[in-house]
Formats: sequence, C-alpha cells, structure tokens
Amino acid sequence: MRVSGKAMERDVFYTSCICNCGSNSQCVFKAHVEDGRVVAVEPDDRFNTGIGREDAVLSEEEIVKVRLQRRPCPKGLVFYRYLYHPDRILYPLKREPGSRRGDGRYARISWDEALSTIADKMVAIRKAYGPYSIISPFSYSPGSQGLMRLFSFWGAGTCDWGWSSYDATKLMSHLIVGSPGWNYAEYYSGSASDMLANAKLIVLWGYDPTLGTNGPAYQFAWFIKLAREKGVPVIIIDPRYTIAAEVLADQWIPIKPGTDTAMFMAMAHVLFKEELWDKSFVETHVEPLGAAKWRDYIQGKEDGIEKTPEWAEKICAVPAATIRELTRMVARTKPSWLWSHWAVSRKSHGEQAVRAFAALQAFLGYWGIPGAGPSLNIGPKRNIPVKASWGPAGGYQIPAMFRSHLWAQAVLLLKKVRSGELSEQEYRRIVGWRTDPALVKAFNPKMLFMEGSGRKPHAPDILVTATETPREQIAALQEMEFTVVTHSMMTPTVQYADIILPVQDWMWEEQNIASSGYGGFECINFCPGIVKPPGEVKPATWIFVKLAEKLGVDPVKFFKYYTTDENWKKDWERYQRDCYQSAVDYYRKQGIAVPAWEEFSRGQFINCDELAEKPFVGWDDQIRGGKPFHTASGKIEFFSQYLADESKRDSGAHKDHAGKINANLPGNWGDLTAQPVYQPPVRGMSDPMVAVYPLMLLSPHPRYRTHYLFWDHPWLKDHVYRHRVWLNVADADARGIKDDDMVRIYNDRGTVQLPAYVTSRVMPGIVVIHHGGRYLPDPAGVDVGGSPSTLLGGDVASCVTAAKTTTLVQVERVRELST
Amino acid sequence: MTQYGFFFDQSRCIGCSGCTVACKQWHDIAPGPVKWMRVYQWEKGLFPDTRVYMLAIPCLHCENPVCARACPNNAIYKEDKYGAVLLDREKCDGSRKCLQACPYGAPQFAGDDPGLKMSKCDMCLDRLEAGLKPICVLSCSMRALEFDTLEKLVEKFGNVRRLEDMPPEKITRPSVVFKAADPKKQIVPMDYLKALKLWQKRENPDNGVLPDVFRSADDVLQASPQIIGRHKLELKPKNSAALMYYTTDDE
Repeated sequence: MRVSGKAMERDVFYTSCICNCGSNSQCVFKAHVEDGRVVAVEPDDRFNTGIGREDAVLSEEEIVKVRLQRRPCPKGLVFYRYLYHPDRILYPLKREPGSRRGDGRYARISWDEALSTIADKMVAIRKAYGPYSIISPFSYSPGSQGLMRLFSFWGAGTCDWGWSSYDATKLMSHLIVGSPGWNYAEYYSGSASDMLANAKLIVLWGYDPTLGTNGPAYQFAWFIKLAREKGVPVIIIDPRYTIAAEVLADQWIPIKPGTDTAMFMAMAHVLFKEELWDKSFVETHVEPLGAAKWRDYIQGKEDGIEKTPEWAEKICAVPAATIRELTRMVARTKPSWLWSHWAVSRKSHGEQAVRAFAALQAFLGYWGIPGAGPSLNIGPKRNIPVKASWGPAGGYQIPAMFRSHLWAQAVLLLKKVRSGELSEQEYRRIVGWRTDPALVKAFNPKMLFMEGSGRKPHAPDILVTATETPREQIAALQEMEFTVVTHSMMTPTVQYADIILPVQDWMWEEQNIASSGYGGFECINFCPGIVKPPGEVKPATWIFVKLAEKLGVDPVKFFKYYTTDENWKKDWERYQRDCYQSAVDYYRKQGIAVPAWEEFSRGQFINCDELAEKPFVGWDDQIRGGKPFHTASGKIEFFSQYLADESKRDSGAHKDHAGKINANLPGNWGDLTAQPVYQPPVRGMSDPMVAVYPLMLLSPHPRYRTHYLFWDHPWLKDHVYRHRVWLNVADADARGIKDDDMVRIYNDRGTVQLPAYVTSRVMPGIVVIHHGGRYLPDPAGVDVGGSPSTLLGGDVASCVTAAKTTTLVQVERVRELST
Repeated sequence: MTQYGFFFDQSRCIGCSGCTVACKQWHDIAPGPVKWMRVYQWEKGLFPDTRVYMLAIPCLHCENPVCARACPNNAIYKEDKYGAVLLDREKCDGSRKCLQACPYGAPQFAGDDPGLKMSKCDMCLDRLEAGLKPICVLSCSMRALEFDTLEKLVEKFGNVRRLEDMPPEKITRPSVVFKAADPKKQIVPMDYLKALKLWQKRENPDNGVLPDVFRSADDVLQASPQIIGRHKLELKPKNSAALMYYTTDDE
C-alpha cells in the first residue's frame, strides 16, 4: 500500500482565526508550516481528539461548558491560502505620476519615502486648512487606534462616529439600560450555552447563524440544532426560507422585511388584552411611567389606533391568528428564547425594532432569566480584560464629527453649505453631526487616511461595504488633495490611495492574542505569528510608531513598549504578555489558575465558558442580583426623557444623566421617537416608490466573505459559492427570467448586473444580493461585480443610526448565460 | 479487511462546503471541479412547502465498487486494510469508464478534455495510517459527519443506506450510513394561503392603492420548477461546468 500526502512530522502550531466575521478569534487551527509558509491546516483537536460527531460522546453539561473543538468555517480553513494571493500588497506604493486615482497604477517606494511623504503632507495640509482637515472614515472602529492615538499627540485631525454593524443596538442599549456598548457587561444579552441548557421554545427573527458565524464557525447554529434534537421547538421568522429555516427550524413564518416592529407591538397588544404579561416583573424592573405610556400607546389610547394583530397583519403579512397564538405560546412556554440579533436593526428605522423587541420581552418577563433574554447583543459577555495600556494618550480631544456611513455626504455637501445653498443646520442633520455645531465652519476635509487594515485585519472596504454608493464615495475621494490607505490587499478602495502602506496580517504574521468574540461563547487563544511576512509588509502598530516619529511625536509616548526597530518583535511580545497578564490577574482574583504564558503561547487556551460556574445570562446582576441599571431611574427604560426634550436637538454631543456621551446619538436625531413605535421603512414594500421600483432588495451578510474580505479568494468564490441575485419564481417568471439568466438590477442610484438565482426560498417582491460584493463598473457605469452598495445609499431621513441594507429596485433580463 | 465508512447527517448539514475546502487544502488540490468531497443543495417544493436539501458526498468506498470493474486498465482497486477504493494513477488512461459506472459521481476530473486522469477521495489514507480520521469529518462545524467501521456506524446511527433522491444502493453497497432531513411541523397554527394573500397587498394608508406584489397566488404556488436553480439532485452532472453549478452555494 502506498501512502502519499501530508507527513505528520513537520512543524505544527495552534493558531486562531481573527477575520472579523462575527466569530472573531474563536476558531482554532493546527497549522502545518514549512519554511515560514503554511502548507495545510487541520481543525482544532484539543478536545475530543479524533471524534467527528462530538455531541455523541459528550454529556449536555460538557457541551454547555463548551468543552468542544473550535472548528473553523470554510473561510478560515483556506484563509492561509489568501496570504499568497497575487493582489497582496508587498511594498509601500506611490501612485504613478500622471495616473488618476482608481487607475491602480503604482510604483514601489521605500518605507522612509512613504512615511516622509505622508508626514510632510499632513503638516502642509494642517497648515493650509486647519486642524479639522484630515478625515478617516470609520475611524470610530477599534481598529483605528493607531491614527486616532497619533492625532491625540499631534494636536489635529478628526474622527467620525458609528459603525455599520450595531449602531442601532448600541444606541438603544444606551437608552434602555444605560450601557453604551462594548465596555459594559450589561450590553450582552445571553449565551448559546444558556439557550441550550434552559430554553423551552426558540423563536428567531431574521437570524441565520448558518450564514454569519457566531462563535466558532457555525457553533451557534449547532447549539440551536442540539436544542431542537432534544425536543425544543424552533420557529424562524424571516422573509427568506434560509438554511436556518431548513435545518434548524420546525416551522418557517415569512414576514415582510422591515416590519418586525409592527409584529412585536401586536404581540404586546395580545399580552395586554389577554392579561398575559408579567406584572410583577414590570413593576420591579421597568421604569413605570414609560411602561404605562407604551401600554396606552399599544392599546390605542394615544393615537386612536389599537395595535392589534389585525392591524399588524396588513403590515407584516403574518396572519393575525398566528400572531395571537404565537404570543400565547411564548408567554406560556417559560422560558422562551426570542432572538433577533442585528439583521432586523440594519434597516430603515431599525432602532425601533431593537427597542420594541426589548420592550416586548420586558412585558414577557424575559430579561435576566435563564433561557431567555432580549437580543441587544451577543458578545464578549463577561468582558474579561485582555489588554495593556500603550501609555496615556495625548491631550488633543478629537471631535467625532459625522456619521461614518455618511462620510461622502459630509465631504460633498460642504460645497453647498459654503455657497449658501444648504443651511448648516440641514447639513448637520443629513450627515449626523455629533460635535459642536460651530465646528462645521472649521471643517475642511482635504486628506483621507484610511486604516483599511489596522489592528483588525482586512477591515471593511468602504466603497463596497458602507451604505453610500461607490459613485458618491469616489466623488468624495477625488475631492481630496491627498489620500493614504494602509491595507494588505489591492481592494477597490485601496486603488484610490496616493500612498499605500502594506500591512502584516495580524493572525498569521504577527503575535497576537485572540480574545473572545461574538456569539455567546468566550475563550482566549493565541496567534503565534508563524508565517514569514512577505516583501516589506509591516505591523500596523509599527507603521504608526514610525509615522509618529516623523511628525515629531515621541514614539515611546505613542507606544510605551517601543525601544528600537531591531527589538520590535521582543517589544511586541512584552506587550502581548502584559495583555495576557491582565486576564491571568482577573482569574487569579477569583482563585482560578489559567495556563502560564509559556503554555498559552503554545496553544493552551483560556476556555472562559468552562471556567464559569454557570452559563452566562444577560442582566443577571440586575434582575436576580438587584443591582440597578445605569439608567437615570435605575430601571429598564422604554421612554426616553432625553429624546422627548426638543431643546437638546442639534446641540452637539449628547450626554446621559451620568455624564457619559451617547456615542451613537447624532446631534439631530431625526424622526427617532421617545418610545418604540412602528415607522414604515423608507423604500420598503409599501413605499409609493414601488410604482417604479417594485422589488425590495435585501443585502444580508454573505456566508463566504467577511464584508469584502475573501471576495477574490479562488478557493471560495465560483468554487464553493457564487454571487448571484435571488429572485422569487413568480417575479422571475413575470420577467421571463430562468435560473442563471443574466439580469440587471437597477434603481435611481445605479445598476448592477448579475446572474439570477431563481428560487422559492425568497418571498415574492424581494430580491437578495449579499453584502460586500466587488464594485466593478463597466464603461457604461453598470456594476458588473455586483455590490449592493451601488443600489443603496442616500436615505438619511430614515436612518438615525441604523445601517440601511435594503432599498427598492427593478429587475430585467439581459441575456441567457450558456452553462 | 474491516470495511470503514462515513456517516452523514442530512438533518444537520448546512451546505457550507467546509468539508470540501478542508479536503482540497489538505490534499493540495487546486480550485476547480476536482472535488473529492462534494456538497449538493437542491430545492424541492413551492411556497409554503419549499425545502432545500443538502448532501455532502465523498467516494462512498462501496463494498461492490462498480467503478473498479468498469476500468479497462484495472487502475481502481479495493485496499485491504480499511476497504478504501483507491486509484493507481499510473494505470489510469482517462477513459472515464469509472465515472460512467459510478452512480454517485465520485471519480473526479480537472476538466472536460479527453485523457485527463481521474482522481478521487482516498479516505485520507495518509491520515488513517497516522491514526487520524479523514479531514472532512473533523472539519464539519455542525458535527454532521462521522467516520468509523461500517459496523460501528450502523450500530450507532442505524442502517439507513440511502437518502431520498439518491440512486438505489443494492448493487453498489456503499459504505455509508445516513440520517435524513427532519420533517417540518406547525408549532404555531398558520394559514399560509392567507399569509400569501396578505403578502400580495401593500399596506399604505397614506398613499392610496399601490400595485400588488404579484398578480395571482397561482404564480407563486404553481410556478414551473424548471426555472428554479438546482431543483434536483444531480450527482452526475454532464460536464465540469455543470458540476460546479450543482455543487456551488448561493449564500
């Protein structure tokens, strides 16, 4: 017998995947390395070695404790092959003289020339245009620590606010429980382990964990399936018959997109009408005036409209009888795990869906009890520290000016403001101005510095993942005198840079701690940086240390671990060890020993779920422990006194009662109401614009990309998945379209051309193009790559904070593809 | 010889192709139609009975490998330790008689050009010899796969040897055990036809009557399956392009 293939003797390391997919750092590989190159990976084998079907050999308790392999998804399994992609940027590059931004013609330059040029330009632009002349779209992201920190020492520069994933959730979390997000354990709602151990009924709204990764790969989906296998009924409410609807659910209930709030309100109506609500919970934990007011509103005492199931069924297309029965069922089957995650909030008026769902669950008494919990977020829930300070920041307070989603508007509309065509007040409303209103006059954006791949690798590529159209964003890019991008790949946005700085991949080429992540699972892993970085790519932090030096900022003040370039790796390791030590200390205080650095850095990890006494339950301390919420009343608040007070509108950054800035509330909060109400989605299925553009476009997350990342990965696209537009059979037939026909999808914003996927898996009147497709305009301006951003954008009036991922379009057949 | 084989749980598979890419990177197979492990998705039924089925299928290492008999060069043989069906690539002349014979489409070719040599799932023999299970099995994040002796698999998971829409197994006797997709049930009563009528109308109290979403319910309920993508399980697509079509996801 001849055995060929991988020898088992080569260097093998454990490492973790951090591709910002929604799993973030929980998947683990055993990587096989030869001469600094990864040649193959195996999935995690640190538990249950050699077992395929792990649950067949484990007790439920062991599963709930997550004594499980962290198996990667297909993206992770072939991530390492991407490191050697021909579009990888290997050297600092300068746009060739005579070429235009977007042409993609570059010449190699030295690091010294690149950094000197950037520093000189920053100084010149600041001198000519003042301190608010450098922008960095999506600078609010944690990945932008480098540039923002540099600004704080340098004394100039701007940032923006908001991020595309969770803004509506963060805003509502701040208003409802007084916890503004990431840094507060009170932001997190529940865990998959708690669901599996305790839920008696599972209802999912627009949530498909078989597509987006939550926890290691699709582990969340697996946990739901395990719950179903032990007899817990699962219902999915979604306009698509998703893979989750097929595999995880007993029953699928279609709902019109963007109308979830109406259904939540009708369910609340049933609770009140049939006296099914949890009075003692509400009395104890919900701010009483707001609770009473919302009850009145639902029962029609405020506007004369009772929010009955009959009222709701016309809006959301779920029959009234079903809404009624479902409400009774979730009220009586205690506890019921009702879950929406972020999809329902990434729509026009998405804030309302978050808040109405949270309110409904408060009236059900489903906050802070095992097996239930409203979905504000699933995240790094115990908030175990894995960090070390870089040293104090500089004294300059960077103003958070505009909404990140609207960065191009913020640039382009200034001309109209200066010419008097647009009032400053209207400008502030449109762009979501969040700082001193007087600063509009001093805002003079002339340089764009994008950390496309900062400490988080491969951050969203703004042209195709923001919600403004690429056309508008390119126009804004062309307004700049100077553009810089740090990145690892030649993406659509990168080609608009004057200088490109190539960044190391931080999970393969750099030592990093991969701590926790989303998904209701929690663990801390280590990436040993086993791959030899190609060309002259550099760590993101190093780039900003050196740029700081060029700008006259002490590099040691910028990053206190820095000594010399030669010592970079050692300095970085000292920093990593200190980060790790903070987690060790956290556990030591509880009398729990965790692996020493030497073991940790060789693949042993901290399995936080295993170390915890019981599965994480959101707001346990408040509900069962009696601790007050951070709100003014100390209770859950569904009526915002702040938003009810018109005098605060358009007055710059808003602070809560405790003096914390509400980071996700723009100065002018548009039509956001003080309590949860249903507002029809702008460009939704009942918008008058359907007369022209009758189909509603959804752009859910893709299964095989993280935003744009992996778009051109030859092992994924057109290999195990393809990028097509989903079309219902009735809509296809009415247009003479068969599966795989080439079609055009268009509206007043732009035109996209893609093959059609004709299916019954999406309801009629709806088309789907997954998020993060490449923007690739042909000479006529038709986007033949298929970025949904080409069709989105613009609807500022309908989104205070929510990223809008839907719009209206028309579809027509182009030509038949030969297969 | 002990016959080893696979267990595939259709009720858990989410069609993500994790097994496919895990296999391809481990065995260093270039992107393209050579998929030793293939993941099919096929759609059946129209609203409200729409279903989408998944099948992850490697070579099933049949107890009666009809491919081996069909090979004019005796290039395919049954290995005697694990019962793997293996290929002696030197002997293969690319006649594709094996593919004609195999009802599961297991023999793989890099394209449609005549003379290309076959390759196929080798049960990860390199891994078996090192005491490890096939890479596809250990990569499944839904834990829908298992690998063991056929006897143990049957003992643990029952003796379902064929899924609906698959070819009969009587002659080939594939070394595989299945669990079929779960049935659907109404947890909460729902009148789906009423839901469809509600869906047809657009609610807009402020702006008068808007055009219906579709003309008649029949357009949704009685559409021709022929215009639907991947409306059948096609284990033996007519060429490489068709293989890619049937084993490529739209998520």
